Amino acid sequence: MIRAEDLYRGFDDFTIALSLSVADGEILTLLGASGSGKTTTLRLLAGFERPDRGSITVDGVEVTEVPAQRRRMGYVFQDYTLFPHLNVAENVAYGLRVQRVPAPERRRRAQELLELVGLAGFGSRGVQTLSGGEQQRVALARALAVHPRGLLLDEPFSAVDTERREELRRYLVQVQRRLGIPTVFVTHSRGEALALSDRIIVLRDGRIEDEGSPERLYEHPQTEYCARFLGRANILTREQLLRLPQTAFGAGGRGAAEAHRAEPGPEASFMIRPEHLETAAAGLGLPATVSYAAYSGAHRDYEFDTPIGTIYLQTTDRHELGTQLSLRFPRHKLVPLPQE
Amino acid sequence: MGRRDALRSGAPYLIAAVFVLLLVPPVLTVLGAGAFERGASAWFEEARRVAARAGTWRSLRFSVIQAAVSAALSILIALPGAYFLSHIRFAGRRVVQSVSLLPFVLPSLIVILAIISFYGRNGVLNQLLGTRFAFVYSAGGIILAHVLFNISIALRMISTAWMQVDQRLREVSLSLGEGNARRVLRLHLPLLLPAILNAATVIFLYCFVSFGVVLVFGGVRFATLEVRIYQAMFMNLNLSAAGALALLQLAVCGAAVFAAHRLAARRVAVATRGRRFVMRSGREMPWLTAVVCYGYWAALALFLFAPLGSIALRAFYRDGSWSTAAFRSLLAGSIGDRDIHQIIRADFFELVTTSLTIAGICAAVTTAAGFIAARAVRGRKVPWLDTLTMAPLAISGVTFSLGLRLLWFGIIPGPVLIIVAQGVMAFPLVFRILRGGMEGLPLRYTETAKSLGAGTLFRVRTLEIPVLWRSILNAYAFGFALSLADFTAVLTIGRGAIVTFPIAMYRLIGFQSFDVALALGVWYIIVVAVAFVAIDLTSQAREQEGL
Repeated sequence: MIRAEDLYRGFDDFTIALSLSVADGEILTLLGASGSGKTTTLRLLAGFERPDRGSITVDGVEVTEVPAQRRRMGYVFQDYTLFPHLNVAENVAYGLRVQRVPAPERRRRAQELLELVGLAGFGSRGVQTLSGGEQQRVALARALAVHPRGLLLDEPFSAVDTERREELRRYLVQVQRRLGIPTVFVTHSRGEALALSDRIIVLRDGRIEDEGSPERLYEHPQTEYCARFLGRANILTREQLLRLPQTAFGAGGRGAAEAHRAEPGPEASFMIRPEHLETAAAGLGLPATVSYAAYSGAHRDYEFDTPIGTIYLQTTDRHELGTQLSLRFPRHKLVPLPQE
Repeated sequence: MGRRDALRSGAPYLIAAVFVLLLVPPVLTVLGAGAFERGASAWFEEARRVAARAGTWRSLRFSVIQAAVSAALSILIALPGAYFLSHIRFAGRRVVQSVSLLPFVLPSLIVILAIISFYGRNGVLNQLLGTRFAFVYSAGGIILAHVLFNISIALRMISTAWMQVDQRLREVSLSLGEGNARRVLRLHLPLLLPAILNAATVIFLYCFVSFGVVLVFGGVRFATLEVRIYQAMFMNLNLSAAGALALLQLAVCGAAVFAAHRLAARRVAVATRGRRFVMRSGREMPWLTAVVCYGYWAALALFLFAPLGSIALRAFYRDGSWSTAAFRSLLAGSIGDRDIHQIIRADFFELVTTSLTIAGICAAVTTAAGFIAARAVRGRKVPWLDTLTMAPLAISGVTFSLGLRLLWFGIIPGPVLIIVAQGVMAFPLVFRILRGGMEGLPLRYTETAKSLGAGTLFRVRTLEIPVLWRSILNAYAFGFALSLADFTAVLTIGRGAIVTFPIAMYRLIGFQSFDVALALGVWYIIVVAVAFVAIDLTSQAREQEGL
């Protein structure tokens, strides 16, 4: 288990202040916009940066002052960082060389790891001959070769072709589950974060904005920032909600509106995901006109002009620009957001 | 702050301190030797007399003008070459890159002989043209020699910087419809200005303190400050005057370095590492570009190598017929009925062994020191340290070597002092090469190795040295060649007891045995050329590996 408590690192215009823990076998994702402190947090865990305050423990052992080379944290960079003067097998075995593992054992272990990441037979190849995805798998095998106590992945898929990303993700999860290593994964892609993680920490300006399972964060975010960061969201203020006609709440109708009236805090807002909205014939909900439409393969994205402002909808139905219809907001899908 | 952090932040100061300790005491010893000998007031009196002499200022003016003109011409001539080297993978590009360095690493005596034998009144050029045109023994000769020496520096520094220009900037300029010529003027030249200034400063300094060339071609009429220091020190035995002149020379050099540094600091350095520069294949060259490109290299080859070729020609051409007698004399150990040992005070093999041993050790020590220094300041911007490490370029070799001898002779063996003197003089170039290489090694490699448990020494051995091998070899080659070519330190510190290639040549010339001196020059050129071509071929192989 990796645990960081009251970690604090100050820079001229930015500070990191957070606590986190990752259990054995868990994949924790640090998700955030550029400059939110995800990579710095990862570097603090790796020992590349020193915290000003706070402590980091691995399996209960304090490592805050332990230099990176003695921490045994496998680190995988975005751009693979394979050593250009070594072939694939030599790259994988580099850490074993550090540990003075005899050459035959190194070769055997490198071969084993290359098989694990689906690159059996690639050992003698030069690293420049590999594709981005293959290079990243070698980097993963290299990080795993030294039996790391934790695996730290810094946007490992961002330099890989889109079609290879899925495959690489699958390898990563398979390998990680098999070895049970606590893993911290940094990304700014919410899709990757939702698909890969056991738990997600959303970072904002060096602080934890929200933390939880992917489902919890997506379905029931705690803040408006988090709601917007994890996907497209319609955020309605209490005032906008009260302007909705009774029919906009569907079957729950008036009861729903009454229930919302009872919510505390005049500024509290509500979120509803675009895919949770329903459409109905004109006059049976909030009147809306299609102002933007985009086809995305599995679904279609729409923007509607409505009396309460722009509303986003995601559906498989087809609507032409300018079409007039009604939108409904199922009560159980409206998520109250606390005042920020 | 941890111990490591403290060490890391203190590293530039530590390097500076070691450098200053090595450099300053010998220089101060020479500057103050007159004061020691005759008292401070006598020193100041002599300094006042030196300042009042019109000749001093004439020499200063000439030193500045010839150095500035040499630097400007070297840059101007090198610019098209730097463009071709960095933009087009033309046939023979590798050979051009390695061979064009040759003049820079030759002893000044060889270049002097080469210029005389080619451009001199009885030189090959006049014989070919049937003229008796003479300009070598003038400011023109000095500038010609300096340009010949330094053009390779400009070529290398500017083409390297040019290759680092972000390819995307070029593509944006293309997409905005800018033509080649305009792009060079509006985009590339402004981005390259710091590199151009850097090259110009280095060349200016080399020319400003150049000794041998000015002494031979300039005589008394075109004396530079360096020659005046030499005259004051060894001919007039006036240490105070030599010290005062050395101080003046140092001040000008310091001002030049400072001015260049300030000018370069105001400019944005080349935007590097966005995307590697994409070179065009030579086969894609339009015919006109191909004519200009190959025409340029042919003209440059003629300019640089015709004089060197004339050395070889004259070494083989004896008494109106072709002969290998000069080479045989060297190997047989006698010139006519005189034992060669009596003339150069060493036999050929001793001479080769001594030269190669001193150069080998000097290059190894300098490269190791440069590597340690470059590693210590890796990833940090320390412009003041970069400027400080250029200081040896601004210090006269005669002054520094003499200072070392005055301070340490008898305590430290002569060969060690020679190695120190040559090492310090070669350090600016060696450090620059290694610093450039080290900055090109992504920090992520080091961090990856750290995360795999690799300690400092393990990383140096298994990662940094293999990845930077090309820069290390390059630095070693330069250290080796500069040491091999050194005349000043060996003569000043060794006082005749230590014989290297340039000393032997000097003695052979003194003995009027020009053909044997030229034969020795040919051997020298072959040794250095083979070393450089081998290194560049290694570099090429590693470049193909992506290193």
